[in-house]
Amino acid sequence: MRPSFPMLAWTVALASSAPAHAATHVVTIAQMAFGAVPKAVRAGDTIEWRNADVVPHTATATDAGFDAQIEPGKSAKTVVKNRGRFEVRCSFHPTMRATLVVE
Amino acid sequence: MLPFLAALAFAGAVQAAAPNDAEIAHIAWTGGELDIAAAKQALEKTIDPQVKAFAETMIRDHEAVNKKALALVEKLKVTPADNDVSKSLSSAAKATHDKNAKLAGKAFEKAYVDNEVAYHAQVNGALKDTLIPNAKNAELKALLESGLALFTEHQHHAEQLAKSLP
Repeated sequence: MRPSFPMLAWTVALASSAPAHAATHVVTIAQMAFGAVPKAVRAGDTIEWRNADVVPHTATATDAGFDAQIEPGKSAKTVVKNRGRFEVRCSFHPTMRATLVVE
Repeated sequence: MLPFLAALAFAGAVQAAAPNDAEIAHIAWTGGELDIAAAKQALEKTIDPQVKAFAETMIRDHEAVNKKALALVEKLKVTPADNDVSKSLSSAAKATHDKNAKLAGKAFEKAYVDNEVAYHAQVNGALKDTLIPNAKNAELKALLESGLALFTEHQHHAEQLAKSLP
């Protein structure tokens, strides 16, 4: 029976390194700030930006491959294309910044 | 000197009597309209892309907030009431507008952005110390609090911009 354990572990490792099922993460913008950005974001995942403020915002990170305008009370989805560490900004409000790490 | 005098007059008028919700709504709405007018003047007079982007944000944001404010007063069946604070804000803004109308190029940009720093500081002070504490209706208070977060960002934006201008 024992030999099957390494085999099982190997299968699991293989499965997790295969293109994972793309996930959707929600980031809420409120009171002129980006909310917590999730840690485990992978290339190909979607981020849904929800704007709880009364003014339009953008979620802009051209290096990461997205730039979306989000109207008040609405949300916009962006797909994270590239791996790396990116600064997300609102192009209307330069003091709004967040860091996004894509694995 | 002018922003300082205007701030004094503004503080004096605010302290004279605690404003009611109808007056608070009028002050908040007037504050936004005056900043939209200043931004429109800037868009006519400047070609600097950073100053233009700032002015466009002022128009976009203050229009959005004022639209929300008008919808709220309609819902609450409150008629915004003109008052000394609104009058003092308007006359100070008119003086700035007329003074800035005579300027051009870099001199205009500096005067506009410096005034935006002072104006937002003044409005934020009034929101924090007078308008928010005196607002009775919870929805009005919440909108004023959102306004304070927004206009604080505008103030920081204007401060950054002022530093970047020659």
